[in-house]
Amino acid sequence: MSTIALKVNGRSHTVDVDPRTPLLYVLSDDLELRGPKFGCGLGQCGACTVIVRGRAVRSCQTTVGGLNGAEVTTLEGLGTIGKPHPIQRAFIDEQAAQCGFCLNGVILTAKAFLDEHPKASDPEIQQAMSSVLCRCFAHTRMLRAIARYARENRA
Amino acid sequence: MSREQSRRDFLQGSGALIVSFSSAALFERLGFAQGPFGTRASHVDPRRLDSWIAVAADGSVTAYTGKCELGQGMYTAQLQLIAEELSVPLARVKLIECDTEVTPDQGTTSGSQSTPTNFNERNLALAGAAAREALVRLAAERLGVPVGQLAVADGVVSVRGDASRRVSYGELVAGKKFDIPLSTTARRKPVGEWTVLGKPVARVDLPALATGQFEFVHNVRVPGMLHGRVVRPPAVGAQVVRVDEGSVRAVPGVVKVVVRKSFVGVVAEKPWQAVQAANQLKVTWTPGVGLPPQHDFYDHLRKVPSRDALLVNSRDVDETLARASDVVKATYLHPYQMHGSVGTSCAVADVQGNKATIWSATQSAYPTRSGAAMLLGLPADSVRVVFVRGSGCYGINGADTVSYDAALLSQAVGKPVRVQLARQDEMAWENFGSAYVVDQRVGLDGEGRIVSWDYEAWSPTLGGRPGYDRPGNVVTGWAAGYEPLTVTPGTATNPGRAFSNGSNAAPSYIAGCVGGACGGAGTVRSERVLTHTVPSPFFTGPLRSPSRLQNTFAHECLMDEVAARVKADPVAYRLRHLRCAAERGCQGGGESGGLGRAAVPESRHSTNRHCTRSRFRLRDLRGRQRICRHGCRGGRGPGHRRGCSEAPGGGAGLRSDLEP
Repeated sequence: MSTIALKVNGRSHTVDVDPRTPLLYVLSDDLELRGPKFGCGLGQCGACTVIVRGRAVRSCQTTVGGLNGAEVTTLEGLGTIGKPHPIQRAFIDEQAAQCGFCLNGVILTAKAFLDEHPKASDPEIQQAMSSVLCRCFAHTRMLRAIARYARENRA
Repeated sequence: MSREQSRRDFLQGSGALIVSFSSAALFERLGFAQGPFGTRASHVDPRRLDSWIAVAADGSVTAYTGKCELGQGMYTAQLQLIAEELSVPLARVKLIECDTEVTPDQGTTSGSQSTPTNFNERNLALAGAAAREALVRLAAERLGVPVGQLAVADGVVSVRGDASRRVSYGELVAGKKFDIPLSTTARRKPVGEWTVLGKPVARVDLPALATGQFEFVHNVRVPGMLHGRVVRPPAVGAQVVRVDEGSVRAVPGVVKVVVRKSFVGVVAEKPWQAVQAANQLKVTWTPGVGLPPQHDFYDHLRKVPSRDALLVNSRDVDETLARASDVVKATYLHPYQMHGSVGTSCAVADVQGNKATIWSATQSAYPTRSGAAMLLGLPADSVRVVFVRGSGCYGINGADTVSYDAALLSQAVGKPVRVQLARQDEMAWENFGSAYVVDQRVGLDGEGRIVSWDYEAWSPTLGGRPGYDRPGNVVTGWAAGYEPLTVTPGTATNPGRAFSNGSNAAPSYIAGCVGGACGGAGTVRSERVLTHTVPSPFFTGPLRSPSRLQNTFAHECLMDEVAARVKADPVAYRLRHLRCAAERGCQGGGESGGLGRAAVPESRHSTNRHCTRSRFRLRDLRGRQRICRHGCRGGRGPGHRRGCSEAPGGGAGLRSDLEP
């Protein structure tokens, strides 16, 4: 066991865990956050995505031991129900979900990509989103929501 | 917020109604049995209005439903229904869904049946109408005017023409229960008066989903909760010989190794510790039963003993095919397909002594209660199943089996246990959508019209939805010693008394004549539909629909092939073979091209009333045709064409083998 300091959604936490524990388990179990989710445990579906130091990472494949002092943003760190982040607002406005389990990875991956590439074209956005899985087939609405956010962001 | 807190809040919020449920619970122990769903005793009697609707002192309305939100929008849609029937604003309606403590038993949320069940003239819709009528009657007494002079808006009943004489729902009921039977004659609000139903309403769960606040079953946390992990067999049919509990003694946090027949699991203090323990636990298994060879699996399906059924048989198919000007033959193959929910299935169970609570994403709250009770050795009324949404399920994912997993592990340690399946356990042991081999022959007359349709299919099956008494239909129940539903071979007898097409084995284009009545949607009267159900090595279950994906793929690809053969427009060609089009002239009603509003009739809805269904299905048809043609052009030549990849919504892996 070792003590790890994390700053998650602006709040400081210290956890005492096996340093080989994936970040996902710390976020969803120790910190009881609802955004990051276990999907495959292999970094292949995107459900566990969080933003670490500005980049979207797969928290099921990121051991917590290497993150001492890191800043982590999860889906609940972007905005709230009362005051959603513009990209969350775009998803609500476009009704872009069915079961909604994948939304965490979809929204955070899109946000991190557009933060870095604000002028990305629709095909570039699609390419960036290709590694995030949705099994309900809500892709069209999601891409519409992302495009809406990108458009509003540029304006 | 812990589950205990939310339960307390719920009790406070619903006020007096819960008192009625609590006292009603006594009836169950006295042997009270429930009505229409008629399956097992429930203290929530669907024949009582209070089982469906409660009005609080503040005038808010709470509805109780057995059809749950799976991502299809049922939660918001049912809010609309209640808001409409009771004339209250949407924001003042609460919905409690699929909780065996307080909601009626409505079986399983599946088969596209939630809307017909709760939005037609019975069940929740009827309860909404009955509650409005009861409230208006109470208002008539209170205000001293006949019912006919009263109007309802925004939860307030007022005298027409004298709005100062009014009384609100909250004042009328004051948190008390109705204590009346559910009227069977209550009249629903006429469609012309709808202001909420039939209008687009934003899903109320979207804001919480998009901001990471939504509580999935994966997020349920109970005080003192431990974490479990299951160890599934390494091969089909493998059974436990020995479990070496010492192999995980050194793993930190391990609480217990649980073995029950071939069910094996570990419980630990933290989830990552449970993962380590499950990975390191040494289990000796029998080799299992082996698998059929994969290279000729489809041929294997044709050869093994099967249970056969004839849906229709006009007894002239061989002759009409022999006389036909042309015959198109095709074989369509469909592999096993998993549901592949993005999140692996998860459940939390709290089994202490003779009481159990299971927070579960099951589509079948009451059936899961019964199955879990069997596994736990408890009476069903000692088990409470509370639905909490999981990752999309698309038929049946691991939600039922993991509910059993959590229950067994919790019982073994006497503490609440959360189990989330490993990805490999979900994928290897879920109830796959079944493999299919479909042989079809279509006979054409000199004008290219279909005069004969012959369908023969083979599909493997094992288990399925557990229902109320078959926990062995999913892997956990099987491992714990319960038998799954298997295939008893038998030859086909003649079709039953009426046309029945729940799996879409019969194409939409045949007449479906059985016992003198023609229940099919089509015009082809020389018809034979023969199915062979064979044993499956893997557990199977509905994928997106019970076998309709597989069958519809075969039928619609064949229609495209035939239309191409006779050089007809594929949509117009379909319409020529739909009875509704022939009898009532469906053409001309659509938005473009005069192709009308005819649709691809589906499953149990396969009657010609579908003529009036919406246009988007026609658009689906056009989209599919485009994709299908594209796929076929990319095939391997005229002798053995493949392709026809299709089906937006689950088509990956589909293919067809076509003999010209």
